[in-house]
Amino acid sequence: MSASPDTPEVVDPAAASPVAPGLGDQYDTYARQHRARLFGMWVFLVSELLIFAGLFSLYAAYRAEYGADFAAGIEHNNATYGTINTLVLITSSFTVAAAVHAVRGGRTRTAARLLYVTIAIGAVFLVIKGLEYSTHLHEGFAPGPYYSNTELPQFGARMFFTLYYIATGLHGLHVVVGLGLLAFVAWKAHRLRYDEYHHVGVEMAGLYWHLVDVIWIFLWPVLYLMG
Amino acid sequence: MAHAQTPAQAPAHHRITARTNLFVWVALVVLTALSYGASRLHLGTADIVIALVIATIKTALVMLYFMHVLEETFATRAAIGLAVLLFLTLLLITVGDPLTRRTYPRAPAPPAPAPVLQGLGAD
Repeated sequence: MSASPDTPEVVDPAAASPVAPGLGDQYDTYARQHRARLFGMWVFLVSELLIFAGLFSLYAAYRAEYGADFAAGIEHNNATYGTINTLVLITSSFTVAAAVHAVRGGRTRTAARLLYVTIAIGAVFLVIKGLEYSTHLHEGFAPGPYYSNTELPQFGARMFFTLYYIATGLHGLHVVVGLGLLAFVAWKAHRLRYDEYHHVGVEMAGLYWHLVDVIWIFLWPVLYLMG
Repeated sequence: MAHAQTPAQAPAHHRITARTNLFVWVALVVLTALSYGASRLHLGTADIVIALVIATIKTALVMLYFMHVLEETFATRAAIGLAVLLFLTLLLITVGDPLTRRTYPRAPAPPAPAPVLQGLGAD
């Protein structure tokens, strides 16, 4: 096993790949560059989590104060829309996980197709959300000073729907950004700019999309179920 | 023959298979159905606990398998753990205030201002 002077130098297949990106000066290998980028993405994602932490905290504090009004607000929320959207997002998380799995195995074309499917499912989420918003607005459940529902005039209910719009609005913004990221990597995958060694973009876009899913996994019970 | 540095995908990546991903998806759907079903029983406070416990399990599944935390480095896991800790701290301190105020009576809820856009709710 010991290398004799005649042994040719072992070539890192990642460096030999035709789609190899630049290797940062600070990295010895592509493997390290890959891991460092994923770590950077995670640090970004947890800081995103802390943005939502503020909203969840506000929700908890107002709910502690106006529990009955929040429960009434949830009863007036449309659990069917919310539940369908939960299933939609979970499924899109699965397809993006499958895309990452495919590109890791070097099946870049399959990954591109799965990413396109994910984008389509993500768009379905936004359409359902839009339908839901329009239903709420017609019932007078609008945010802040625009609230005009007469069935639930209490302060707590107004607060619930204001938080509902801020939380789902911020989440929806993340869905839109996530769709943009997915479209970018889907196009690159479509053009075969990734292989089994170089695909950190797909992994990062996937992580972002999963974050969007995780936030919704908590928004769903908090806004639709805990009546 | 000597091995070069680990290439971009470490062997550990292969621990999570396509089959595992599929099982995780099925588990997430089942948990969603369970959570929905439990919420229809209207169990009061237990409602909240059940919903949040199921959401936590679902999040753990997504993070461990779909987000590959199982394969991540210690540094990444530490960053996640710290963020969760900060999240819970922020949440508990914020909710602890209204839950434990006993020193002065609660202020009455402010009266509802007149709707800015009349007729938004009227068709």
